[in-house]
Amino acid sequence: MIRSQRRAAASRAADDRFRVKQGRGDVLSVVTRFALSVAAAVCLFLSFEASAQAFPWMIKHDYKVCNVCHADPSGAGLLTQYGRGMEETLVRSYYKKHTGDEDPGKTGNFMFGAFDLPEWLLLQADGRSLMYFDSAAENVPAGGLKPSRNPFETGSNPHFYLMQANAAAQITVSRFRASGDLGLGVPGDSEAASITRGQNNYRLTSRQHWLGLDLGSDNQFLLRAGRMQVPFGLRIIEHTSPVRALTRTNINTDQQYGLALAYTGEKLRGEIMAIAGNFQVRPDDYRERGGAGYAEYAVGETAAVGLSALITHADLDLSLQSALWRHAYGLFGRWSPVKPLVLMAESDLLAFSQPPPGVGQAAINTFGNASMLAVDLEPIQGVHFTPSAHLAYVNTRLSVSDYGSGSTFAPGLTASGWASLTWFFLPHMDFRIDGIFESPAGGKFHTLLLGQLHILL
Amino acid sequence: MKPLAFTTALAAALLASGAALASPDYPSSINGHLGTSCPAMACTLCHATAGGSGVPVTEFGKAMVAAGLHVNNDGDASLNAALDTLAKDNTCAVDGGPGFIDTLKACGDPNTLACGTAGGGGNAAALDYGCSAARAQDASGGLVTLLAAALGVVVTKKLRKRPA
Repeated sequence: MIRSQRRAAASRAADDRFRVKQGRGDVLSVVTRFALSVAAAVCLFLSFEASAQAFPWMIKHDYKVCNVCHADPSGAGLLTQYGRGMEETLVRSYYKKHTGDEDPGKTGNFMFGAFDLPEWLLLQADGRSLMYFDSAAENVPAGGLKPSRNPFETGSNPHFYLMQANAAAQITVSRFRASGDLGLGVPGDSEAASITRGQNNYRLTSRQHWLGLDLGSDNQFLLRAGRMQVPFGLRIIEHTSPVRALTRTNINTDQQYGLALAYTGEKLRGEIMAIAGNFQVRPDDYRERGGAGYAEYAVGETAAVGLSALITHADLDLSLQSALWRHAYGLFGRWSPVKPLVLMAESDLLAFSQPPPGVGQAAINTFGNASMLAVDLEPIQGVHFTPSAHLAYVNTRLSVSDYGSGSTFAPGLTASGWASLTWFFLPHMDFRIDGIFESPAGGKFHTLLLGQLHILL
Repeated sequence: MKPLAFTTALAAALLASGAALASPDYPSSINGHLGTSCPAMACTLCHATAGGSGVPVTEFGKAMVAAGLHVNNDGDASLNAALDTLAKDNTCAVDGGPGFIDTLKACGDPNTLACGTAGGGGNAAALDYGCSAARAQDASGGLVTLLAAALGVVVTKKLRKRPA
């Protein structure tokens, strides 16, 4: 009964159901909502950079598709009104009896429900801070962090890093949509999403801005043009994981301009994208052009498998410093054998094809792999233990990195284990701790400890 | 309510601080190893951007990588070893002129030497970020500005149509 109700809820009618004008169990006064919103907004304006929410583990609640909860049909980022309702009822912790079938009320709405948004408008703001400690911080590619008692000092270790200040919006008029976001980036980071020019400065960023057209009798197709996430593999927020960084498909700074068509059906979902390049990177030589796509099929109520492919070409690759055809082909899957548990896995074959370095020499073709296995365990609602294992292997001559995520993989095998704990402790707020134990190719074992606080309005 | 208010205050305290950046220390390490007191070199000594992100792309940076520089848990060991290798090989010295290391010791920019790829040196095409229509330090961006303006017009019209 509950499952069928939730499947049915994946329709526009369901979206309306959670567009609550008045909510049972709403205990916050208008003044309180406004005060909370102002306080959180201040926090947002004082923080910088961005990644976003993306929860592949929602499959355990029978949510195999992403467009029910996100404006992006392939998931992550700006939430729909229905998605806000689900975040309120199924994601966060409760401290009294809770079945998950309650009316979400207004607390999960934009600005804690201080304002009622019209149906055609979605708004969201995100702020995220990061406390960072690296047992061998001199490893950091930009030159290293130095031990310091002051975590706010430039280049200190431990280091207080403000990751995210991002505002996103979408308007829908009939079958047409316009969606975009704006954020602030810190010097030396999120550069590939920069709007403003200049180097080593604070910058305005925009990761996504696109125009879309819903197609089909039930809007099962979405045609988009603009700057979007690259459709490939599991859409996870762990942007430094090799499966996202080595394929350059993370949701931090790897978005590309192009034309994309997404399909969301009962059992099948997918998206293909013609990649025109990142026009926020110059000169044109560095822009990667080609295509990418994935398809995922639900093999059960709580299981899905998918495959991905990506081929791009750049006249001058950021890492390998030559023209490059870059290939990635992958398999991924999600499975929830029992309600508190979700297994997520992805493995991608990588290929790098460079032209002959000189007359009479052969082309350079090298291969690699990026893989991830994660187990998400939610013993009580809102608390997630997520151990995961990550492998990266490249045999290129130089290290391979992505555009602006700070992830660089030296030739050889890099292995890491993550122990992650996320607690959605209150409406709109979550706290996360990661212990990352990494053995980098050609380097020594080191440990990273991360602590994050995320606020969503 | 109290937990909410407390948490919000805690969040504000945690978030309300100045942002920082990972400042490159290799330039000062180079000075230290070579025994020079040259003005601090920019990250563009090796990297495409002033922020120093990404792998080395300049001729000197690539020569350092080829000489064994790697980003690992070894402090400055591989950096120093690579500098020693370039010094020993007198890398980039042409027709008796100064090489990379001699140029550095003279507080010069080794990437100006004509010893790079066939045809002679210089940096790889400099990587830059930001919208094509935007000028340095300018807060406007062509397509995004256009989209934002369109959004503003539509939102304004929609709000005017809303019943009171």
